[in-house]
Amino acid sequence: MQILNDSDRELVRERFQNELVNEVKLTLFTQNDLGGLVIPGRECETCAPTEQLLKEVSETSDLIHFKRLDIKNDAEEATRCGISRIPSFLVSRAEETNIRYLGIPAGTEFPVLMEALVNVSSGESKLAEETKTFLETLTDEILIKTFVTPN
Amino acid sequence: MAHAMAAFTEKVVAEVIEVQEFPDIGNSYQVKGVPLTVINEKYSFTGAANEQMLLEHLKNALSELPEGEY
Repeated sequence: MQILNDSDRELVRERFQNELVNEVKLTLFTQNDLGGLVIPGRECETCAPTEQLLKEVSETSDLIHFKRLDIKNDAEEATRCGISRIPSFLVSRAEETNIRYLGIPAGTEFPVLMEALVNVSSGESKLAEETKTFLETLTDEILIKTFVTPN
Repeated sequence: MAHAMAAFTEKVVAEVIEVQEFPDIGNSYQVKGVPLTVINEKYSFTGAANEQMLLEHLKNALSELPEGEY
C-alpha cells in the first residue's frame, strides 16, 4: 500500500529534481520479515511502513540510493553507525554516520527527511557564515538529539 | 536545523528521535514537551529553534562543560 499519495509524490519529485545535486544514500536498519510470526520483544509496528515510505521517497529521484539492513544480520554495521533501535535510518554522502533518524518520519516530520536529503545531496550549505565559522572551529564531536512527535 | 549542521561537518552528530515510537528513550530523557533538544547529553532546551537560536544553545552548551572535558 502506498504511503505518499500521488500529489505528494509529485511535489517531492519536483523538489528533488530542482534541489538534489549529488548522489545520496538512505540506509534503513530494520528487521527481516518474520512471515507474520510475532516474537515477544521483536515486535516492530513501524518497521514496514518506514521501509515503504523510504522506498517511495527513493523512487522519486535516481540520485537517492535506498539500502535496507537487518539489525541482527548486519549488527557490525549497525554498531559502526551507532544504531541500536529499529526502525532507524541514516542519510549520507558516503560512509559518514552523523545524520540519523529513529522512527518513521511521517506527518510534520516528513519535511525533516526531505531537508536532510537536500542538505546532504546539494553539498551547498545554506547556513549563515557565523554558524559555519563556529562549526569549523569545533575540535570534538557535538551530539545533538532532538525528540519529536509526528503531529 | 541540526541535520543541516551535520551535513556541513561530521563534527556534528544529529539524531532525531520519534518519541512516541521509543517511549523508553523519551522517559530516560524525561521528555515532557517536544521538540526537546539535548546537546552532549548535558544541556537541553524545549521548543523549536531557528539557526541563530540553535547556535546560541550550542555555544552555551559548550561553555557549560567543565574545562578539559572537551
